[in-house]
Amino acid sequence: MSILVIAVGVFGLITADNLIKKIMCLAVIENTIILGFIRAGFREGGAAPILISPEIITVDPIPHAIMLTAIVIGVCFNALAVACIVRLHQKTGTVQISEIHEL
Amino acid sequence: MNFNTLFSAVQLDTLEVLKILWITFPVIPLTALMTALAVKYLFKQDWAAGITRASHILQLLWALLITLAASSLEREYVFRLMDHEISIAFLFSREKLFFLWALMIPLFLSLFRLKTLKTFSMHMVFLFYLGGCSGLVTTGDVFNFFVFYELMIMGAYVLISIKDEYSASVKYMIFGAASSAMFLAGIAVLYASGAYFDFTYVENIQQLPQYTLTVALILFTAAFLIKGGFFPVSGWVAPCHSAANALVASFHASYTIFTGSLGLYYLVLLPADAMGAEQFFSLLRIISVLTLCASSVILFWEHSFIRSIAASTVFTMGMIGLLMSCRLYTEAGFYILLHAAYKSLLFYMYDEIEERGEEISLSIPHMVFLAVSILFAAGLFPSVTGALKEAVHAFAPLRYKLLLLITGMLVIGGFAKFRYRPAGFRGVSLSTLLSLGILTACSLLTLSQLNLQIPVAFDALTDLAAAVFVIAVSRKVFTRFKALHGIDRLTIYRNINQELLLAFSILMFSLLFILS
Amino acid sequence: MTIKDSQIMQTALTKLFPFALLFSIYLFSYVGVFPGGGFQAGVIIGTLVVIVEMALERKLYSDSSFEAAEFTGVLILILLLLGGIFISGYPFGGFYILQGTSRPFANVMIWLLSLAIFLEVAGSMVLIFRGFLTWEHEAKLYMLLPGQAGTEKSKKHDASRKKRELSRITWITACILTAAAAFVLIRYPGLESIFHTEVDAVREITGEFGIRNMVSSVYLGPRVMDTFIEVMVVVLTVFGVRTVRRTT
Repeated sequence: MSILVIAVGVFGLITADNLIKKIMCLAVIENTIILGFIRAGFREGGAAPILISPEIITVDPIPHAIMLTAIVIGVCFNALAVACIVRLHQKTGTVQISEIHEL
Repeated sequence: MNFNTLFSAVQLDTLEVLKILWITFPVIPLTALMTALAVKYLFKQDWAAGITRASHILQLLWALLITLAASSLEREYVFRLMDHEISIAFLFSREKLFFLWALMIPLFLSLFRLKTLKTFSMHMVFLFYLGGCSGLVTTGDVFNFFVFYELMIMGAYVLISIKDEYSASVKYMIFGAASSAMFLAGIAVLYASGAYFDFTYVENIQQLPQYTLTVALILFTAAFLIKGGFFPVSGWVAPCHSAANALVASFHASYTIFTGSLGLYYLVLLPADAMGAEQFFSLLRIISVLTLCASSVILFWEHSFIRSIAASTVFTMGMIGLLMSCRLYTEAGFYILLHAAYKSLLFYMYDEIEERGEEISLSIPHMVFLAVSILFAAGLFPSVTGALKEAVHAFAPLRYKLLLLITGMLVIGGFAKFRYRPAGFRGVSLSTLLSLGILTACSLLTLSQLNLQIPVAFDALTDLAAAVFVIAVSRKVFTRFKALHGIDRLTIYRNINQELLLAFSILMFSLLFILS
Repeated sequence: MTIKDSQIMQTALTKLFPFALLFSIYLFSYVGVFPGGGFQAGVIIGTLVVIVEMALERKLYSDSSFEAAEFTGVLILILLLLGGIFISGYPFGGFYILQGTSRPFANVMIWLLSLAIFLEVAGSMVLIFRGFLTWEHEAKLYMLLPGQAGTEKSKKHDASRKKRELSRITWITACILTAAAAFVLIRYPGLESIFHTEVDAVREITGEFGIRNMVSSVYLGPRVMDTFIEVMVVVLTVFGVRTVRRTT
């Protein structure tokens, strides 16, 4: 199921003419992959990874811990990308790819 | 000199020392950064340049000590962050020393050009970039590789835009983010297959579900092919490397793009070897051959000198891919080291020459250095890279020999087609001496460490004859075939959308190729 | 029509400020017990300050207080890393040095690391936002809302040419993606997913730390280097945005 959402994101990334839309599609792709990873650590009948009692059966906490890092990296990438696009807009007056010659 | 006896004299264990050196190596630039921030906020002084220099010298010292310690050790060692099986592993192996020195060469050269980083923030970003680069060399954990890679590449995005070329920076960002997304997907599938994140999961690879693991390796392959700038997605290399200033471009061309091959080695080729999956090697060979052909043709019809220098990196990447797909890892490592040496120096030299359209005026020592570097870049006879390529001929003598000869000729032609004019002899500058010195040292090191077969007289003569022939006719061929002048702006590369289409087509192609 | 004119936004942002603040402090202090931690709390406070600045259209505090917060966070992290190497040979001390000590001290590392990340992320979020403002924005926060100048002119440019190009790429992409999706869904035997045995090791570690949140004990325990580098990525973004926007 996450493959469908990723395919939509990829389609948007390839065909978008506006740079901001490309960054949004990249965000969609990355966040869907993160959700897919968390799903890979799922166990049937498992509870959230908090040890409320010592015998509780929980899902795998390692994907959760790792994807915290990945989410923050995604946010930082989006901030940097938007900063560069704003500068590009200041220089060329547009964010459409069809109008920027060097892209 | 036996390091063991030295250390046993002061009662230190070589392995302990190596562990401390290895783990603290990426922390040096980050601590330097911290110190610079402290000085700026507490004492309101800007000591960024001095602190950066100190951090460089410390890192060079660390690298020397690590190499000395490694000379007495033979195999791989895993150092853990904590004494527990699920903590992060740092892997030491002798192949990583090639990447370590490929990072140290531009680091040493950047000591002389730190003034090109003008503001405090630029120094900070540069130190973060170095922290990421150093961490990539030392890490032995897949997710840690991803995180250090992101640190490095985000510094790289900002450093490329120092000269106000934001379009190159945005292009690099989009390709980098797409490949990082594929890498993250590969990590997810790898985890789902039951492997933990250490590089050492390869030891028990037969117990894991093979299909899931193959899908993970395909995702990794696609990610590293994009990061390394192989054929269909090599369109970002030339604009990005030529848009940066000399300091940044030297790091990118010597180290950052080759982290793609580092990833391919540890994350794709070693597991594929252990699984017995030959298709990955064949895929890499096909794509490397295509890269060699396409990049040499595009290089021949490049209009600008700096873009030619940047495009020859793609040619080298194709060569490295070919060497790695033939399992010639040590040769590939030495090639990377030599490439780091001559490419960084080429970028620094570009700053010192004058270029007017297709006319380039340089002094005689620069011409000598340029001629030497072009031979290295094309991999033809007198240069050591020519001897390194001989190892590939063992696989399919006539086919590869012809391919490498023709592509080498195109590369030489790509540089020879410019008009060079001597600019007056101003004395042999220190930088030229330094350049030739570094290049000679690296070549001698390569020759002493490998049993290279010096090409027999026939091969050497063919190479030299080809070089002379190409230098004579390249200008005429270039001006004759006007129709091909737009080859770097082909339909498939007309804008970034089409390039991205190709990026995802690589993924599909590798999926279909390997799973069939 | 800016945010300052909207009654709903003003009420929502300024009146809800204390509740959101309380929530972030709750998330931070329950790092060991419930889902929460330094990142989450720091991001909430950081974006809260940004939103309130946008609502009030002025800077709340000067840059230096947030820079101090960010700097303190990074300082604590680096001191813990290097100090750990000096004391025990492992970066960040290796949590086993706290093994055997009495329970309140067994999770002092978790608290310190959490505090450092909280300070650092909170400071950086505000500084990243401030990095986007230029000198003319500092006097008056100005938001470009949809419908204003700048978006009109690009719409009329070569609409037909764009459409032609777009349709060719659209067709190619659609065909490739459909074929790939069909291939994957038809031949896809499903990816076999194995549940890891490392989860039991994580349970043990969580017990030793004396906390209940297994996720915190992973990213602040054995995998703390990832967290450290990711904090560095956030600080890099602050300086990166400043470099790109050319403010020192």
